[in-house]
Amino acid sequence: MINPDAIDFSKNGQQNHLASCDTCHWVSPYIVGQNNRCQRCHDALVQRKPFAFQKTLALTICSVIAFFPANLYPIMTILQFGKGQGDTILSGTLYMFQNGMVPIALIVFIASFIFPLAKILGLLYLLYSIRYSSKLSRRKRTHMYRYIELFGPWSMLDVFVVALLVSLVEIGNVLEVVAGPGATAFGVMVILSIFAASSFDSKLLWDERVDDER
Amino acid sequence: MTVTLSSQPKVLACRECDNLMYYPLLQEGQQARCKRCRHVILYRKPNPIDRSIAIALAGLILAIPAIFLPIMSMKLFSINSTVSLSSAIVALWQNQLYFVALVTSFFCILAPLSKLFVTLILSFQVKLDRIHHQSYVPLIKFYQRIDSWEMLEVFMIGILVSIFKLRDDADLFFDFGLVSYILFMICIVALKLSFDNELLWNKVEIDD
Repeated sequence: MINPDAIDFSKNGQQNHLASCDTCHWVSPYIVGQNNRCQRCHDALVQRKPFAFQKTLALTICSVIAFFPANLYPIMTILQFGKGQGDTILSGTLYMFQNGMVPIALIVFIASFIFPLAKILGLLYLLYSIRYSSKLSRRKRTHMYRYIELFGPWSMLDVFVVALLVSLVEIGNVLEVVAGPGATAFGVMVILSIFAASSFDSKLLWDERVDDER
Repeated sequence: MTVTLSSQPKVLACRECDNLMYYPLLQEGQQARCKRCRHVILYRKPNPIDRSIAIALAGLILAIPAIFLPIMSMKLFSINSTVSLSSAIVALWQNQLYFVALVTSFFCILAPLSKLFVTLILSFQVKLDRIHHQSYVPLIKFYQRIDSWEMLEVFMIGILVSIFKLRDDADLFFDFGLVSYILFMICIVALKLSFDNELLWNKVEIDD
């Protein structure tokens, strides 16, 4: 147990040689260079996620790479009498726009194109702001990170739509929906970007120069 | 086991910015924010144990029709075809999209179902004062690990999008499966709002 009277509350946990458990949030003493364990749940204890910067950068680059096949390959093909052209995510959205389904097209466009892109760019920006400088306050950047984590699952929307359509639309040889390789690439990209966001450590944003307390 | 001390924490560190503070004592329904980064660090949910039991039971009952009953059906040239959550995954598998099929079944069936089971067991363990059971801590850890991988809401919007995509080309009918799916999803969201793992952690005793 730690003694609250011995803590300097103007400094953060790391400077007080404390660490809060990532699993149960219990605050335990932390000795650098030792194998520290949480007093309450006995999980391994870290003050900052190890190699958070490198891991996030690596996984973000991976999701950038997966972003291209995900958007260039068709995610599904609508076959009418055995013939049809593959639809990528963007061409499918464009088709809905042209057919007057503007609100639903906007939802799909935002969830499956804007969100992943914003997520990747946002993570890269956060990483940049740790190493260099940023015009945004640390509080705003923490907010930004929280939203990046929140938006993650919504990019799976298009994959689920493909799943539903592939199963539902099977009217003999007349009308059939076949899934394409883009769906796999898209799923891989979404999962990679969720991992990228979860490997980031927002405490790093607050570790920089103490003077700009915004 | 040596001397067991009270597990009520005295100090709290913000998860987002590592700011230290005294552990705030809250009433049910109150929340506390970090002074430095404004993150909600604590939120005591009202009546968490009883509500979680009720919601988890309802969710588990609704899960069966929500997964297996057809969500909607389509009619074209007098041929009828239906889709349910389970048949959508089977169709993905038959289309050789093995990865997508596995991921979808994890996000939309396994993760929500295990969440319901785990919260039910945990709530009963607290209710019946069985928190010294060896499965208590691992179950909380398991709950936290799968918490962010459940995507029923996203699938719900997916259903809406496919309705709009097909509405001009074919006649669509909605079945009882859709109703139970929506209720199932509401249960999962309500569980997120009522289950309080911080409270469960504070019941774990500490050997010093």
